[in-house]
Amino acid sequence: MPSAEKQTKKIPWGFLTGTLIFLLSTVLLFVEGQQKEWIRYQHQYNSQNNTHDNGPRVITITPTLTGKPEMCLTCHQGIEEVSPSHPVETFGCIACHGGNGETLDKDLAHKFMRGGSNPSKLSAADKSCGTGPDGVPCHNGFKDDWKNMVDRVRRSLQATDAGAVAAVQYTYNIPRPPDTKYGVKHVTDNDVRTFGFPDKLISIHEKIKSDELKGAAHPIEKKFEANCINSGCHLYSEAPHEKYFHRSEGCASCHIPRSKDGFYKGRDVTISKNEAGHMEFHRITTAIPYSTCNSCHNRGVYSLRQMEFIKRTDLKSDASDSDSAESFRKKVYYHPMTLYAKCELTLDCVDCHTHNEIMGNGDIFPDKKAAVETRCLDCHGTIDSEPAFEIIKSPDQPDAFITGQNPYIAPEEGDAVAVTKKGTLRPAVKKVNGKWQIVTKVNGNTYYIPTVKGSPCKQNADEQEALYCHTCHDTGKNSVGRNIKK
Amino acid sequence: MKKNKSVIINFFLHLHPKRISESSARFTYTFGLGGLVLFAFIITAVTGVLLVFKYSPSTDSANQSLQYIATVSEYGWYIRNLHYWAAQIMVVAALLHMVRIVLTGGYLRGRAFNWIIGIILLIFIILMDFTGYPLRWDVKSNYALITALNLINDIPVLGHFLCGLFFGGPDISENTLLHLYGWHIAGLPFFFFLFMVYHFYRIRKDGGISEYERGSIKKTVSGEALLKKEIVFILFALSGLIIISAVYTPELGLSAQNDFNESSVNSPWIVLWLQFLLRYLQPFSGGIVIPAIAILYWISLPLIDKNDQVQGVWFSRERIKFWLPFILSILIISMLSIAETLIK
Amino acid sequence: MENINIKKEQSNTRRGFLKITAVAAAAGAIAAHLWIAVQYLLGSPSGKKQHEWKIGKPEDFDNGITFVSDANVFILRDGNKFKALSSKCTHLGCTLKKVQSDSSTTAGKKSVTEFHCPCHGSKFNAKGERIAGPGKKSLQYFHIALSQDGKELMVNNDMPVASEYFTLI
Repeated sequence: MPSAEKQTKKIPWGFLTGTLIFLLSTVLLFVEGQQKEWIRYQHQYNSQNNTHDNGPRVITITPTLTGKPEMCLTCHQGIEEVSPSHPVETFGCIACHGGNGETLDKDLAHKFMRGGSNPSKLSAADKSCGTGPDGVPCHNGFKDDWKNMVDRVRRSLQATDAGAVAAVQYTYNIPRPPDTKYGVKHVTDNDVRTFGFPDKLISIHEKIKSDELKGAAHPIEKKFEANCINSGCHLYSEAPHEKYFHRSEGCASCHIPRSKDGFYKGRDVTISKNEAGHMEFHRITTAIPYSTCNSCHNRGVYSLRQMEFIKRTDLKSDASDSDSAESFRKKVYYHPMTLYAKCELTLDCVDCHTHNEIMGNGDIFPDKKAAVETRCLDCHGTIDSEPAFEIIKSPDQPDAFITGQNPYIAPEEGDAVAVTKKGTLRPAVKKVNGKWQIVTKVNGNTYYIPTVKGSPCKQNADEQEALYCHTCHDTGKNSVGRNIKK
Repeated sequence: MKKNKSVIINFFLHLHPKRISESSARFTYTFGLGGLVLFAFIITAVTGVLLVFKYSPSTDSANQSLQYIATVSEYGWYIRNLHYWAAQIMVVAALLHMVRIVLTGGYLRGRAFNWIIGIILLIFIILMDFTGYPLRWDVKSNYALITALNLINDIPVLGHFLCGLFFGGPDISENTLLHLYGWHIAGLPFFFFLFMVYHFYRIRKDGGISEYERGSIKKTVSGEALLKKEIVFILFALSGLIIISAVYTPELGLSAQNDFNESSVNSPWIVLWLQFLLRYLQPFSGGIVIPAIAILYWISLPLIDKNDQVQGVWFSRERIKFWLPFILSILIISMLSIAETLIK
Repeated sequence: MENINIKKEQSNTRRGFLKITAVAAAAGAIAAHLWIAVQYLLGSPSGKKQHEWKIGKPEDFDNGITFVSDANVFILRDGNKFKALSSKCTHLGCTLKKVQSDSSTTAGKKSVTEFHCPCHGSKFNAKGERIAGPGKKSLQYFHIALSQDGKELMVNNDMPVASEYFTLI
């Protein structure tokens, strides 16, 4: 027989190796196949919530607003619904966050997300918070200026830092063109309603850059840029990731509060729970607690002399959640040298400070003084008169609508509500049966407000600065303050 | 032979001659390239059938359905990877097969006709590859599609006709995708299959694959021995394919309506050289005339090269004036592709 | 000679063993791939099928029988009584058509409402009871109630109820 016959008697090494490699590569394939990310997240979610019988499944929703199916919730199964007014069946995820819901590939799905993980960054807010999928105005782009929250915030002091910039320039006599004001970013206002307010701010970065080109950059201004503007004292950047400092960026700075230690505490397994710098819950709120405001305010000294932020060193390390709310505030949040009236320890900042102060009213405020409108007499009146008030004509009138973002009140026609000297309504401060009362935003408590008129107070009606009131009404030893809970 | 053999083995055995010259059956003579193309074609066909179950050829949902296959379906990613890599192997193996034929004078001694069939097969393979690419319906492949469409539209006289035939019209629309899909999954494979079967039949008719010895004095091996060799080779090829497919996933972008600012646009690698030419030449000359010249040159090789004396020898010096220009033409195309890659 | 034979036998068994190993490996790998193909074709379980349907305000329904295609039910209204009757034929599930059929009784000719199946001709009367055709069972009644906000009617076509069940608006 020819050679071929001999071959068949030999051991078929080639065939053996071939089949074994075939088998091995198949095994490799199964190992690779186990690594689907979304399945891993679902297993994680199921083991955390004891929902094993659900098994891995793709979760698709088709929000009515966009009409396009989204698979985001497959991985982000446990994410909290962002707010009752933004139900997920209607909005889905893409309408605000951008990105792509038709894939479960992590990179592709997250491509073109607005503002990364935070769509409310002021650079992204126009599309995310401002307008809906078809360019429909949501929180921006209206004819009525008061509805354009994004624009208002962008022109507000919290975003522009205009007051701080001006203070630095003034203190160090840094040369600048007359009638030119500076802020963190360029911002314009085509409809200046308050006489004397600027119609635009120039970016401080660009001023410094052009000064540098001329060789005339002021060292203090550069230090200010490096130490203050670039390190988070405004809404365009995050605060330092340290306990009690945690704060997000953009609208979320206030509306999505972070926890004291900056940890995420919700049920979305894709978000790290032991890494600081995440929201506490995926939840928008208008009931902003005092602790959120205090992630910036009262945190230390913004030193004009050293041109840097000096953190407080007196924070009480013994403060714990078992402290009473008041003593906790005093230990952790409030400045030891400042006088605080009872209401400042009981209420939250947003109970008195109006949206026009905090988010701006659409004008570009040149400094803090221009923004503040809250005064003690707004709620307490003077020895001569009761608090100024206005009768609500309709719950839908602009002011009533905005300040009505207090979930515990429902402004009604005919309500007598307090009003600031600039005309901002306070629907939560209401006269009921001849007595003034306030309903707090965060926890819905009702407090009676003691009026000055008829009290032993002898304060001159013309001298109503907070300074005067605090002199007597300090919560220290000699306090005459009272706190009357309903 | 009294052994029990299954019908399948008998079938494949039947495709082989009873006895074959030992020099031709040697692995280092053919490197199994033709067989590799067949193997890859079978894999693309099987995985292609599977993909048809989940692919939706409409502009709204094409990309989405692929995303679904790639990320949601059980092992959809693997099926897709296999399909992709088998297709790439098919192109590479076919090209190398062609190179082998030229270098060993495979088209000599009455095999010129089968050489031309082979080139037609190559064109079909490239077309199948190219029509598969835009089915992703992502931004990058859409650009490749637009380029191809305009290129063909620029052909004098026939342009509109060809556009209608291949793309269902001169503009990208629902029709374009359906046409591409139809050609990719049915039209092209059907004709490819016919030509392929004819190619194999022709090999037998032409007296087996090319060989060194002439006449009847030759050492031979049995067809069964050859089949065994082939099975081992296919096992290795299959393992390689599985490993590549398990590890490397071909790109899949987002559909054009979602991906508005894709910065770099890539053609499939197979037409990179064309993209390079189109940077510098008019669409008609760069995209139509030059490829046509190359193809005509390849087709005419057996007409120029009639040196029937030497066959079955790699790099024979007697035939250097024929194979060297051909290798150069392939090298130039490769260089153009590399240049295009480097430009980016 | 014998020695050689033993050696030959040994090598034969060894060869046989290796051959079986090789074939088993190949068979395993091929089986794995078939399994993959089947898994792929089975598809992933789709989302839950919707069973609860908001079908509109009660006052939008006329007295009598109204077909609601979303929920695949007939709504039978009798004043302020509402019932939901399945419109799925009990034979093979085609959607029934409401027809006015002339039936002659001893009292004379009279038009009655019936449900006819367009597929294989099953017939049901206005109460859903089977009259004729291959469908053997009578039609199923489903749970119907007002939605939580009290504005719209809700039908759950996964919750069968007795034929006497109705909801009062």
